[in-house]
Amino acid sequence: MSERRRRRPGAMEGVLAGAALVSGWLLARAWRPTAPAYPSDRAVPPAGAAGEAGVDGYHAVWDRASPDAPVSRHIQFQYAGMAHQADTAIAGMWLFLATELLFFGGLFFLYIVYRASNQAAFAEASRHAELGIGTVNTVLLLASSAIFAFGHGCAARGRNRALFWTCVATALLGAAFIALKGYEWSEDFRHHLFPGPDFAIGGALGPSAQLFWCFYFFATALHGLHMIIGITLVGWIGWGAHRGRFSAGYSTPVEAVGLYWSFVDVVWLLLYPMIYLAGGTG
Amino acid sequence: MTMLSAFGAWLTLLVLVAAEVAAALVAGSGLAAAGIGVTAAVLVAMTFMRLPSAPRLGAVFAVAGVFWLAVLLGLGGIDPATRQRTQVELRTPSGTPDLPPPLSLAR
Repeated sequence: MSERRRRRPGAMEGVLAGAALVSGWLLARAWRPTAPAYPSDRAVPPAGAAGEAGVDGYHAVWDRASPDAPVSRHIQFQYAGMAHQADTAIAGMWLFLATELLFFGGLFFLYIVYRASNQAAFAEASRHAELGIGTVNTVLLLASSAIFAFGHGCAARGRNRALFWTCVATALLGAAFIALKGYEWSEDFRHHLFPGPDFAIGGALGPSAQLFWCFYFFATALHGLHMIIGITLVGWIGWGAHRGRFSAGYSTPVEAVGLYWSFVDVVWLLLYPMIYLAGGTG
Repeated sequence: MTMLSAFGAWLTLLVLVAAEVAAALVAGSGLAAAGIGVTAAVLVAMTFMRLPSAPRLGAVFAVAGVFWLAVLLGLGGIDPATRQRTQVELRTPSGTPDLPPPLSLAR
C-alpha cells in the first residue's frame, strides 16, 4: 500500500512533464514567426529536406551537404539560411556606411564653419574650380551607379554574363572619373591653385581662399581613394561573375559592393555643390 | 533593379543635377543648390541602394548615421551661426607711457 502511494507522485510527474512538453511544442509552433520575404530565399527546398527549424524568423535551408542545394555552400555555420546571412551582411554594410558618412561628416562640418566666416573668399575660390569637368564627372558617376544597380538585378536572376559586362562598364566609368579628376588636378596646379606661396588668388581674400582649396584637394583625394577601392571591388565582382559564382539564391556580395559604390556616389553628390556651385552668379 | 527603372532613376538624377546648376548659376542660390544635391543623394539611397527594401536593422543603421551627422553639423554649427563679430580697432593713444609702472609687492 505504502509502495503504491510512493509510485503515484512519480506517475503524476510523468503525466505533467508530458503535458508540459506537448504544450511547449504547441506554443512553439504557434509562436514560430514566418520567414521574411527576401529575394535570396526564393529557392524552394526539395521535398523532405532537412533543416526546417527557424532561427529569428529565418527558416534554415535544406541540408548543406546536399548536391541539390548550390546555394548552401555559401552559408556560414552560424546562420539559419541564406536570407539570414544576407540580411546580416547587408545590415553590416549599412553600419559601415554610417561610419563612413560620419567620417566625411567631419569634412562637411569644416566646410560649413569656414564658409560661414569666409563667404566672399569661398565664393571667389569656387569660381576658379572647373565646373564643366565636375559636372561631367557627376553624370559619369550617376551612370555607373545606375549600371551597377541594374547589374545587381541581373545577379539576382543568375545572369552572370550580363553582370560581368555591367561590372566592366561600371569600372570603365569609374576609371574615366579618376582620369578626368587627374586632368582637373593638373589644370588646378597649372593655374597655381594649390595652397602655398604661389597661390593664384591674392589680396585680402587670398588666405581664406587657400582654405577652400585645402578642402578641395583633401576632399577630392579622399573621395578618389574611395573610388579606387570601389573600382577594385567592382573588378572582384566582375571576376566572380566571369567564373559564374553568383546565382538567383546567392548575390549578397554584389549587393554589398553596389551599396559601397552608390555611397561613393552619394558623397560626390554632396561635394559637388560645395566645390563647384559655391561661387553663385558672381 | 531592371534596366528601365535604373535608366529612369538616372534620368531623374540628371534633371536634378541640371536644376542644381541652374539654382546656383541662374538664381544665385547656393543654399537651394545644396538642397537639391541632398535630394539627389536621398534619391540614390532610395533607388540604387534600395534603402526601402533593406533589412530592418540596415535601415536603422542608415537612419542612425544621418541622425548623428545631423547632431554633428547641428551642434557644431551653432557657434558659427550665432557668433557676433565686432570690429576692433587697435591704436595707441599719444602721450601714453610705453610701459605701465611696475607693480610693487613690497608694503
